[in-house]
Amino acid sequence: MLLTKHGSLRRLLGAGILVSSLTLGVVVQAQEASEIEEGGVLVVVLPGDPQGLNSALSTDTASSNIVGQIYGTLVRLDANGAVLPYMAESWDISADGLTYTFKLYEGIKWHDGEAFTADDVAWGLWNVNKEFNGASAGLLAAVESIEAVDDLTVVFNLSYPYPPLLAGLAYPNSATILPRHIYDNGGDPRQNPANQAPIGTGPFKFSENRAGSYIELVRNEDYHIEGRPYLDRLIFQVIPNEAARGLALERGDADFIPYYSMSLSEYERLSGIEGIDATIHKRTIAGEYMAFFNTRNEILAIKEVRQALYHAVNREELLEKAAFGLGKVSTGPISSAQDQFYTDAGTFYDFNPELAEQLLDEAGFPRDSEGKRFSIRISYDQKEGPMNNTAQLIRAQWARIGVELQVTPMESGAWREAVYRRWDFDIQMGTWATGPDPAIGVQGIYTCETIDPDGGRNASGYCNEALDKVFFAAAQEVDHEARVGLYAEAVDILTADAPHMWLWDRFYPVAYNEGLVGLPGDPSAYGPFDNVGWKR
Amino acid sequence: MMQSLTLRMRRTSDLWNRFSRRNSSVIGLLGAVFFLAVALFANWLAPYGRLEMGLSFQPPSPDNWLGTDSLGSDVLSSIIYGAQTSLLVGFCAVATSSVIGVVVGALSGYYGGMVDNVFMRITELFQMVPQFFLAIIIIALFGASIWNVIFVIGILTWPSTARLLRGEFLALKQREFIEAGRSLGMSDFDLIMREILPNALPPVIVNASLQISGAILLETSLSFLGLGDPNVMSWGMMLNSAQEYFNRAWWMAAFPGLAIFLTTLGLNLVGDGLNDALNPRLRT
Repeated sequence: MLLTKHGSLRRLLGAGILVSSLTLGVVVQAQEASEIEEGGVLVVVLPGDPQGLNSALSTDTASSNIVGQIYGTLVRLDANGAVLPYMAESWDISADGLTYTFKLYEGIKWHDGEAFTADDVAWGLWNVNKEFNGASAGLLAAVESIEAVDDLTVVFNLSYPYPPLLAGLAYPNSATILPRHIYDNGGDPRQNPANQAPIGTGPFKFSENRAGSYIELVRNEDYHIEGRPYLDRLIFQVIPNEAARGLALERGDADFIPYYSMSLSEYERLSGIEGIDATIHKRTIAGEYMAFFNTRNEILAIKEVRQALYHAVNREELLEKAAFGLGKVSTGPISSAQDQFYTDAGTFYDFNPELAEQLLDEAGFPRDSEGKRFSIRISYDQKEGPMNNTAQLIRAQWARIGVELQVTPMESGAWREAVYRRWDFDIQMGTWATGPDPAIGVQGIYTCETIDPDGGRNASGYCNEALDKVFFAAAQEVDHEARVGLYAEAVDILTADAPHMWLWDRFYPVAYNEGLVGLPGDPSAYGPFDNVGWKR
Repeated sequence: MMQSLTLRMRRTSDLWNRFSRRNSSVIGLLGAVFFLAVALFANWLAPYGRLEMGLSFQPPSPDNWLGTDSLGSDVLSSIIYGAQTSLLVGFCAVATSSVIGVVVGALSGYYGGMVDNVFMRITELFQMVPQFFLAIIIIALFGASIWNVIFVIGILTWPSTARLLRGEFLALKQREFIEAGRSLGMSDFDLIMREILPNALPPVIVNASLQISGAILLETSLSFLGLGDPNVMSWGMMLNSAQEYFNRAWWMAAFPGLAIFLTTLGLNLVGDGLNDALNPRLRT
């Protein structure tokens, strides 16, 4: 009697934890396991065919999500960005921050039955990820060598301390571990047939890929975490039409719309439907919508003009009308979603058209007889959801201070070419990650060395040596408090100079069937869905 | 002098009689004139300015007769400014296509032989390509400015004009009055411009009037696919932004759709009426 009572109490308690953990988006821990059904199918919505099934090579989010189920990484992140063991059981970082030693789990097997060893880690990261994946090359820039000491121990030797490395190793889009016995054949890894039918160590095995329709994964019986995954099958279903995705979820044809498939305008409707949970996922990459000024443009080279234009943007209106309120007005280059580094220090540009007009008058751009000051262009990738409406709104807002804005949406490839290679733009905008660590997300957009038409990310051409010094010091500083202080200094400098307009910190809405449990609360990595299952 | 004036007046009233034989033509004309007036006086008629934005998703009300869109622009004002764009595209595109079509058709029909062969093969080349997809590619390559859209539509629609005119020329150049002119020593240029062309024009005019609504529809379709000029308001663009909010703001799609329907219907009815008035075979 007592036992059953106790049992039901525990179950009740378990359910309580379950509900709260769902709303908080926390990874469901082992104690709620009894609430989750063994087996079942999960259908995830994809916006289109993914770019390929090898995240060591491509950084596309949708393919990273799929690849994150098939392959593994050394570590994974929980909802708050804390690092958890995944394929590495434990790790040790030397006091000087220069040596990382990872102990791997014993008995992990590749899907084809071969044993997984430290050699796979060392060879793959060095010879494939670092060579062919830009994000990975950035992450491993400080790493001098990766050594497999024995079958279960791998050591990273760094030439300078680089604290963001550990969390970075959780990202499938840069730190996916590939099987050496399949990729080390002397051929080009980009042409390897395994890119179409991947063999990994993750919770799900690749089964079938029907282009334009779906990708099917099945349960890996030999997964190294006991009792996981719960699901039997995982289907990634392609639904190109935005409105049809919401309908599929409503009808039960799909179970989960991840943020990369979510239409902002659908979110409000879906959140009101019974049986569907719609929530905001926090992502440690902390995306932020921003507009780059091209400081090579002779008008935009003037700091006061940039400040004036920034003051003339009503960001509350942008956020409400273009992003349906799914965000927060930015205060600077580091998103407020980055708890550890965010600061509201620096200059804040409130909506103040009078001040903007005054600044422009003083900078030598008075209104002409028709009331116009000057005309500039704004370019963006037309596929980037809210940008069309954002451009139209800014055009209307700036018209009031006498600045004519020509809106030029571009096809993705053409936009990238014009903005990053030819620097042929006045203002360009879109969304950029500011995390998981400012050294990875923020620094590379503003330093002088990244003004480079071959892969450099500093498109605005803004170069300030004082700022560079602060950034480099911050990236190598081991003490966390000191780093926070240094980044606040960088924010000060940047917001004063305003080479960008930081528009709003992006929220990542998702929607799913409320019967689902254990979706990774931090989809930054969209790591493995091994804890995902259906409520009993 | 007096005589020729009364003659001309009689011809005009003749034309009007034949045009107005069908009520539908007159109704169409009224519609077309209304559209023209709205487009020409857009700046005075629109209740709100081009870049004025208020609350978004407001249903039709006394403040905004046709509601507001997702950005808070007044739908009625946008339709009125859109009429301007449609008018511009319709007339400029048809002017472009008519000029090209008339030149190619006239030369081809008049000279025949090699010239005809070359021109007609080029014409067929343009007719063979699926128009809409070619338009999409050209716009994607050269950017979506309103002048590019006009140019593309002009470039794509001239073949029908050219073929029509060529046919007329082939028939007319055999007639006695042309022979007479030639034996009097008139130059080719004079024969084409002063003798044949005026007589060959009526079907071209009818064709052009029908092409205007075609051009407006093509521009609308391009903007609907997001390939219109984002710097000018157009009906297609309004529909494009409306499709996301069908189940939330029906007025965003319904009213621009109605405007497109009425305008193209009106222009087509006018085209039919002109056909009645100008086609000699229908004269009784």
